[in-house]
Amino acid sequence: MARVSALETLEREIERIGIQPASTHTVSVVPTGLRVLDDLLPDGGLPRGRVVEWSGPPSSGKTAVLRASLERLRRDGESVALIDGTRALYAPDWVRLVPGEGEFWVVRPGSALEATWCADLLLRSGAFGAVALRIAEPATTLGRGVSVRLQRLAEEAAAVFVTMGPVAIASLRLGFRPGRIQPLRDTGFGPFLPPFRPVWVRVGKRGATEVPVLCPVPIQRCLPITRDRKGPL
Amino acid sequence: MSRLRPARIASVRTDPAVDDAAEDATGNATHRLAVALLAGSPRVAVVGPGWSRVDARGWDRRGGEVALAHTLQQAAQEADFGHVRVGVADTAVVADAAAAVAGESGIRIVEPGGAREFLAPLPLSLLPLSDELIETFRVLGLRQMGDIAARDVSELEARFGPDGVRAHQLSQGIDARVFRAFDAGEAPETALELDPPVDTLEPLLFVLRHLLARTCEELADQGLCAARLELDLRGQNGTETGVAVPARPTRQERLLYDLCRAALERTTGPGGRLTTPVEEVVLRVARSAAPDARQEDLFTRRWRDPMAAASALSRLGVRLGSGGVVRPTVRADHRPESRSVWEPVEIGYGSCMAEPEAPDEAQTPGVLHLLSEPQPLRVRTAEGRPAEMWGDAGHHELVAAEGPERLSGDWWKDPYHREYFRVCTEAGDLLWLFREYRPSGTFRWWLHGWWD
Repeated sequence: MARVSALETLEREIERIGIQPASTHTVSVVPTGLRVLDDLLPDGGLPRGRVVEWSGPPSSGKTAVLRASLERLRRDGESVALIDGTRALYAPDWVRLVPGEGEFWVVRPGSALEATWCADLLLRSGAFGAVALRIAEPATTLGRGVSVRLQRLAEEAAAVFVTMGPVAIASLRLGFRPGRIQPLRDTGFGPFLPPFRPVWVRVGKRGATEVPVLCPVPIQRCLPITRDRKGPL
Repeated sequence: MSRLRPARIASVRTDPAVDDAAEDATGNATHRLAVALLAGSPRVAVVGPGWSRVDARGWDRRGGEVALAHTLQQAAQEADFGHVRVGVADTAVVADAAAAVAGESGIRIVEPGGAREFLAPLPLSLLPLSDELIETFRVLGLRQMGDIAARDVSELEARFGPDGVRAHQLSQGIDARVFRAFDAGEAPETALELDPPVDTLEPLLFVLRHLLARTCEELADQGLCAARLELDLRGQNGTETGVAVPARPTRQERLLYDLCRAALERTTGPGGRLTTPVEEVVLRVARSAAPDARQEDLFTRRWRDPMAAASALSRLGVRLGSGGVVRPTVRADHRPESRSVWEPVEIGYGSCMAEPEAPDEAQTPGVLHLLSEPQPLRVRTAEGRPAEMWGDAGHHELVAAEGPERLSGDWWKDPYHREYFRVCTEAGDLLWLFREYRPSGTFRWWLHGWWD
């Protein structure tokens, strides 16, 4: 019993260390490039030197929001590294991040273990303003030891560190959920309005906000689809 | 971040053009010109026969860019090149155009920020574009650079793909080509005979440290960095060559050692045993470059060391192999899997830093993910569009579908005929399906990717 209690105390202590970095300087943040999301984030942006967990089901828009955030950092001239464990990203979607001061690199590891090693190396170099880690599905949870080490490295590098997948200890957790597809409201573009699908983002326990993400399915041109048993949608 | 000293480039062309074929060895005249131009700047890049570019920075206190241009002309004359034209501008494409249209004096200087105005009335033939593209522009009534610059870039992209975007950028003086400095000196080369021959990795690594120390010393004496190292292992059965390419030119002994070691490890068998005993090791700097010095701003942001990035990326490249560290590029191809290219790129000195476009906050597009191999599907259609699908991930009813977007081509090598649909499942997944037609007229459904 005493051993269990000691273990729990130790875990709480690790969590405390993970959440509160050793140094006491003010947390600097970088805007995500999406004002509605920045308004919801604790200090108005993504914190530097902390582990930020980014989670949600497929097609929930989490990669779109990640790209918008990295794009914003690139506009500020920060070097950005994206570790793509899925090896499934479509290059033309990321070309916009290449030009400008600083550099944009994509690292493509072969396994989840290799991916965390890459994150360790890139953060340790101190040369990147942001490192994003995408682990292939099914994503394994990053353990406590790894999380704490990566947080320490991110803090030393004053870098934004985002991990797309479950992580044992994170200072900030963003949960993504797809909303209903709907056409854009009164944009003045005429009858062929680009539709969008809102993405619901929950920041820790602070509630949720809606981020518009363009949907690749222009729904007003394809409905209705009839189904055998249930009739028209 | 502001750049305290903007990049300035001088383009130097012989007039008339040098005919290398008439020389005793191809490239001799070009080489002689590049060596002569070192009188004006330590960084000279060879572009083509009788044509070089020079880093034009650093002449502020020596009479400015006009003095630099006169110095380059004089140096070329002393090397028996007669008259040369010199253009100085912010980027390579503008400097080349300025050299081409330089008047009687042979000197044309385009002031910083004046590229677009200068280029506007000039003909498209001065841009480094394919003859075919220039002819197409001509037929469409676009004859001057200003005509291209005035067009909407998305319009050019839709019609000409990446070539159209490039033409649009070049016509505004935006040029992201890398400036590769010419190396006039002898490439450092160190060698060591091994007696008796060694057949394991450990003694070879010991020798490698010694060779690298000497090589880095020589590089430091010459003020150069190694951009590519070649390591020859000579034995009775011939020579085996390992190659080490750092992500950025460097003379950091530790980093070069790690890269050479990784190259050697790739040639060894189990237990670090070499395939054949090595009698001599030769370490050669196959390509060198001037140190890449960038002016950073002390006050606006935390300074990040580009060499630290290069070191980390080099180590990742060694560990992950080819395709492990990449940048996104686009190829002009309609087939989606061919259009998406992740390209390993060497980091170099950029002669132009184009600003990234501002993201549109109101329209954050979804990000496409392509499967490495399309997955087969069974699909039920309704009114010509997918309505239900069965695949590895199970059964899904589709609540929305858009298409078809028809793609076909490559009839001369690997023909394809596809109809793409964008669909939304009842669970909210946004998927990309296609129906591939075979020559027999039958078809098959595939899942190609998803959006997130």
